[in-house]
Amino acid sequence: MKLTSLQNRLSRSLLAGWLVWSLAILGSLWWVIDHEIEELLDETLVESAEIIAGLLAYDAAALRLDDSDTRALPAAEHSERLIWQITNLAGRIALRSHRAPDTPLALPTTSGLSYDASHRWRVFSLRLPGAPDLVLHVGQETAEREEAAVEAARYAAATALCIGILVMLWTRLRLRRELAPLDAFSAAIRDYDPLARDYRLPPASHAELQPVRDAIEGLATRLAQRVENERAFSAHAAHALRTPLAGLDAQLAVAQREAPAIIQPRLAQARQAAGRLQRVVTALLALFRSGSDLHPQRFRMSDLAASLGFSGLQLQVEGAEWLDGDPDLIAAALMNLIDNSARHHATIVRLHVADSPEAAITIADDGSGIEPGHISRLNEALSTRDYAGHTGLGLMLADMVARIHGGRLEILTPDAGCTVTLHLGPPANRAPVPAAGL
Amino acid sequence: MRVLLLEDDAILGEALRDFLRSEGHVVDWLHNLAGARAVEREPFDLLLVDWNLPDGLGVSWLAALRANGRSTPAIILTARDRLADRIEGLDSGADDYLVKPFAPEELSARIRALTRRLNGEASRQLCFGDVRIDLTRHEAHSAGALVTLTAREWAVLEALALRAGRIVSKADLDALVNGFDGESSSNNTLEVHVSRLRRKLSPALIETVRGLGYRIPA
Repeated sequence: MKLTSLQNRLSRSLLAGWLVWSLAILGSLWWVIDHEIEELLDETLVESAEIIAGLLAYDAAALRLDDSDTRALPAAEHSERLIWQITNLAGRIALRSHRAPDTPLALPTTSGLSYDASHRWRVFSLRLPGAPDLVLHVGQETAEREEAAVEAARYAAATALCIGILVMLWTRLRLRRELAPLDAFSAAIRDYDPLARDYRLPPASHAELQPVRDAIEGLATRLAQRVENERAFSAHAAHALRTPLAGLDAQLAVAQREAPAIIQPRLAQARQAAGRLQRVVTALLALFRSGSDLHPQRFRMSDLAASLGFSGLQLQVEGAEWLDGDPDLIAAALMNLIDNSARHHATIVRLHVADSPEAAITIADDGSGIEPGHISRLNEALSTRDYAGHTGLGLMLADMVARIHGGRLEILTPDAGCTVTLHLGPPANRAPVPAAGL
Repeated sequence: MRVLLLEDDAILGEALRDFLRSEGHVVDWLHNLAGARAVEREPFDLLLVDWNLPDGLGVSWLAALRANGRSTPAIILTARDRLADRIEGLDSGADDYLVKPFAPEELSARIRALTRRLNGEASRQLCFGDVRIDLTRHEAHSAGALVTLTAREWAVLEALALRAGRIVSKADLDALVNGFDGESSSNNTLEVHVSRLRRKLSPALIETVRGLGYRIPA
């Protein structure tokens, strides 16, 4: 499952925040610019009209025109941004700028700001002082006013956006730098071995990491204490169980030498049972001691098979000579599997060893075997690790050993006898180079 | 072979003592380090040492013994099976390390292998002129013929053969043959055993070094 990145989540939140912020800024800018530019242009229009009116009032008599005369004042070649008209109260144009339309911009009775009928011009109308029958209309093109507002808004928005992007990038960079101690802390935790007494987590670099560090150290301390207790228990259990078992076997061995022939078969059976007990206890102790702790070595499989101590059973080793793994645990697993074979009347057990692509030991015997229907149930129980009530102790132990190595136990369906494969996983889970005798 | 067995478990100790005695060894079984320290100067051929003893660690005692220059072969018998324990046990001066539970037959085989290795023998057979001694089978041959020996005669022969070329005092020979549990032999008894060995195997096999003891020439 892909986990969510805190950095990405924070970055996305910041981005969303900055987008909302930018939109709000843009909206405000648009409103302010629209309002202010409109007001500014209107003021310019009014001011221009008042200037023109002042100038015209200086010689108002010159504005007395014939009814038929509509004069446009000559002008130098230029792009006229402001136009103006002078109309009489009848709505006739007495005088106008050269680009002004020859129809009145507004009604003669209009005063103040308005739009012409086509909405092309924004107009300010003013009765001329000294000539009350004349009205001055000063106009400015609406499109030009809008263009000015849009330009202003565009530049403001671009500037706001650039600043926003720069701030976003800077924030992301800061975020990455601020979160970098988390990576370093993770690396320290990765190397942290709670059972190594001389290694402690480095001090927290930030206040926020202190509680995490304290929690991990507390957890590690509890874990180490628990492992210590289990190890102590394991050591006591080992001594408490191993010595009496050795004594039992040694007493039986002496009895075999001293007893009359008639009770020798019973003594032999008693020694076999003691041997089985030893193997089971040894396997349990090995697993209990190990937990998930693997002590891999390179060992010779024939040596390991010889050390298992089975008598009355022919053990044949074939395939790869050397194997990487934890020899104690593998011996414990094999002891239990071969013990199963012996109890199911096997006389020959073949151990086939494979070392690539994955290490595996296949144990095939000539015993009475397992019913095919039961094999699938056993494999199901092994694959789900649902051992209780479904598998015997030997299969469970062997499967646990296989899983510690990164593999699993599999029961095959041979034509005769019983065949199981102890998969020991890919090479990475197994041993380093040093060779070790058993 | 005279063996010192240091084992505090009564059932195991008794069984090992009896098993090794049935193999022809002379076994002195002690339960604690105090007893072991008291017999440190006794001539033993082999030490079987339990790691944990009621009054201390067998490995520490063994290490102290080695520090004092004693090189008697030793096997650690212990319930501790960790790699670190094995290393510590061997580093303390042990020549071998056997994890409980073990079959006494395996211990016996390891004793044979250890003595063979320490004596630099390819096999467990020693030859002195016409006399061939098979330490594994506990058999002696003279001019190719098997010679029947009593347990005591074999013990005397083995004790001297394992120390071939060296003088073994009568007191040491007595200890090697009888241990602490056996009845101490009189000088006369030892002489009788030596005399019978000379007669059965070869007159020149065992030399008497007047006032010092006996020796089989190397």
